[in-house]
Amino acid sequence: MDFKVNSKELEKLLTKIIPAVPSRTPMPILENFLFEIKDGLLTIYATDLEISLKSSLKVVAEENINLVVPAKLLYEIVRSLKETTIHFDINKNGKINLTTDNGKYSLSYLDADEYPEIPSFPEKDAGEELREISINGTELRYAFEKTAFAMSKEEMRPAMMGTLFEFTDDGLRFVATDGHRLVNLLYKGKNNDITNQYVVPERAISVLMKILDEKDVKMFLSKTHISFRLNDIELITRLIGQKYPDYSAVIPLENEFLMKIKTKDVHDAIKRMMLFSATNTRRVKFSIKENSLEISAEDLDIGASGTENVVCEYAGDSIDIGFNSGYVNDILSHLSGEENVVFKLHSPTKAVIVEPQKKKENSDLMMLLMPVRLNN
Amino acid sequence: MDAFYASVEQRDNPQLKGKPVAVGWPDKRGVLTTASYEARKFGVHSAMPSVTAKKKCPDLIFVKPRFDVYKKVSKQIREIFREYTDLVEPLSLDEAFLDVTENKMNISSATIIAKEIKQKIRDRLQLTASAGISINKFLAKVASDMDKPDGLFVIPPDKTIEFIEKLQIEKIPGIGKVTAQKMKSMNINTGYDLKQFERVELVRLFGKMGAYYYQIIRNEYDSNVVPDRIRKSISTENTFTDDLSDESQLLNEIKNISESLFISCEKLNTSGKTVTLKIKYFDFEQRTRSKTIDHPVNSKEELFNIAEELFRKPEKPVKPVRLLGLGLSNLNNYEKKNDDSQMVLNL
Repeated sequence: MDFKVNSKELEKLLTKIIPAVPSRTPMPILENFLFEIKDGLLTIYATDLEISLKSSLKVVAEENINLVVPAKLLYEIVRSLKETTIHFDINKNGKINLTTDNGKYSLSYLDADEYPEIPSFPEKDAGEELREISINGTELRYAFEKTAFAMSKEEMRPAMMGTLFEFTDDGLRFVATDGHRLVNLLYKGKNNDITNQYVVPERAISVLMKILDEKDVKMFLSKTHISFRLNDIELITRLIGQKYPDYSAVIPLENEFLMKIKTKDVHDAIKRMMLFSATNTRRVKFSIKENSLEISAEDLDIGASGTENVVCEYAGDSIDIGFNSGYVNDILSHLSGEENVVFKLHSPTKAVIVEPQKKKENSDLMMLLMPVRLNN
Repeated sequence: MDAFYASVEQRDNPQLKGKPVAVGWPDKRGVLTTASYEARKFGVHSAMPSVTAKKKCPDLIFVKPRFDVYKKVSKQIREIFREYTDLVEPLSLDEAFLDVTENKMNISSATIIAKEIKQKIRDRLQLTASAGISINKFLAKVASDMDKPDGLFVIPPDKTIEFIEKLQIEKIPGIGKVTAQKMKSMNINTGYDLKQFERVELVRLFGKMGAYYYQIIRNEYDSNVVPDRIRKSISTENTFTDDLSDESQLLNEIKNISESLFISCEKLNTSGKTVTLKIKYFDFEQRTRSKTIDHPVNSKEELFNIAEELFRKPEKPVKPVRLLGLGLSNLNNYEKKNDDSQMVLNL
């Protein structure tokens, strides 16, 4: 059995699929690609059993072939080759020989039967109503870039380990939270008569961020899975089968004190104050008065402290409020494209809203941060 | 306990009584776990290499440790403690802190309690113990070392400051040989000397321990007695004044019980994967139904939903209900984070 393929075309294909290959897995077989050749079409799969990626390419083959090959080794060889034709020759002794103009490489392969079942999308005839919507790749990537950092890593609340996709009358909303901070991004008007919630696991988000480009993405939604189709790639992910917490209930409505501030100024100050914040709490104190913000931090263990003043626009009551400087830094990093941000405050124990000052036409971005108690 | 392992050995083998005894292995590399008071007179002490000990005290008798026996005795001692309070924090097999501020015997004097406990240990176990009494763990520990063996030492509340200021620094738990030497080289000999230093300075000199020294010397160290009993389950139940048959009333009760159980979970900073519903009928017939999920229950709504499912399946109660109870087991006793000043969204 054999087939031939152009090295650059194969490299392109493998580059798209390899993100789904798990780097650490209790099932070593998942460190392989599944190759399926049917009627001259090579389809390559990879999965970690939570998500799967597949894509296809025309090859020159006489027979239909199914086999399992080591992903990383194959990818590294193919990637390092100049453009050439690779001849794959599969022999019966469990070896697959790759021949190019001036090289010969031999890899072990396994039978396709040994590869576990890949998460697959329920067929339409399974009696389940399937939804299909289309979204621009750049927009989807932007949504993940802004929200993904806030997902929880703690297994106590499985739903919070994913990002919420919520289709509402207002549009398509993305929410991520770990209980300390929360990001809420709404794309207005992206509504296809669906009102439903889907919780997408972190792994799917991080892989999608690697493969998304500016082209449109089609999403097929079922109760248990989402299939993302972009160009010739299909990513299927299981959904987290837990109800997402009621995020809307924690978004404060009474935050009447607004502090408008230059993003870069406050971000630079925070980066310096982080150096002085105590390692266990990472606490910084914001003392906000009329048109002035003082940020201070103190590490009693090493006997160090720092204070900075940042100009802002503020007309509300004077307020002292503590934050985890790491969280403030995260939020400001993800708003670094904005010239000004607005902090909406109420009291030292209530969640603070941080938003871009300039609203976008088609989307609303809001970040929420819970304060840290100040003891004095 | 005084020379705990050695005393147990002397008790169980009368031939060892009154003789220098070391618990440990006599071979070249062995060290002693404990030395009897007779041996200590020769300068033999715990953690000393067996070879050195033998040189100091040629008549020293070596006995191999029997940890299973010590564990059993330790348990018997703790049972005596528990006659007075459940707030028992064991430090090791033979040492524990007891908070007797409120106690089961309603005795207002800690000294009387200490005397009684010592007497009970002597009567029931034929062993001697030393007690230290004061206003916090640090001082109680120091006090217990002041009058060994068979001692009882009290540092009264109004004498604590004076006591600490006069205390030799090497008697402070947490100051070992090396730190003590360093302190002495700086002319820090007593608690008073140590008190002259600012917190930052102590931290600079002694690292994290510096902050601890700063606090203990001022009686500011957090000193709650933490019992180590590992909880296996949490439950709540409610007996009704009148037996209930109405489904919506019963469900309402289940909702109340779920809420109060979940509050207990939050207080104890734990949750469980197994939910058990207990139903006792008017005729005292009792049924329990359980369900285990793949994660610890994480909201009162989730707890209620599972309880409701258990209430309906396999069938709703068939007779008037006298009592409903709800329990969580399969607990995750996850550790508290070292910082709880970060506030949490109420999700």
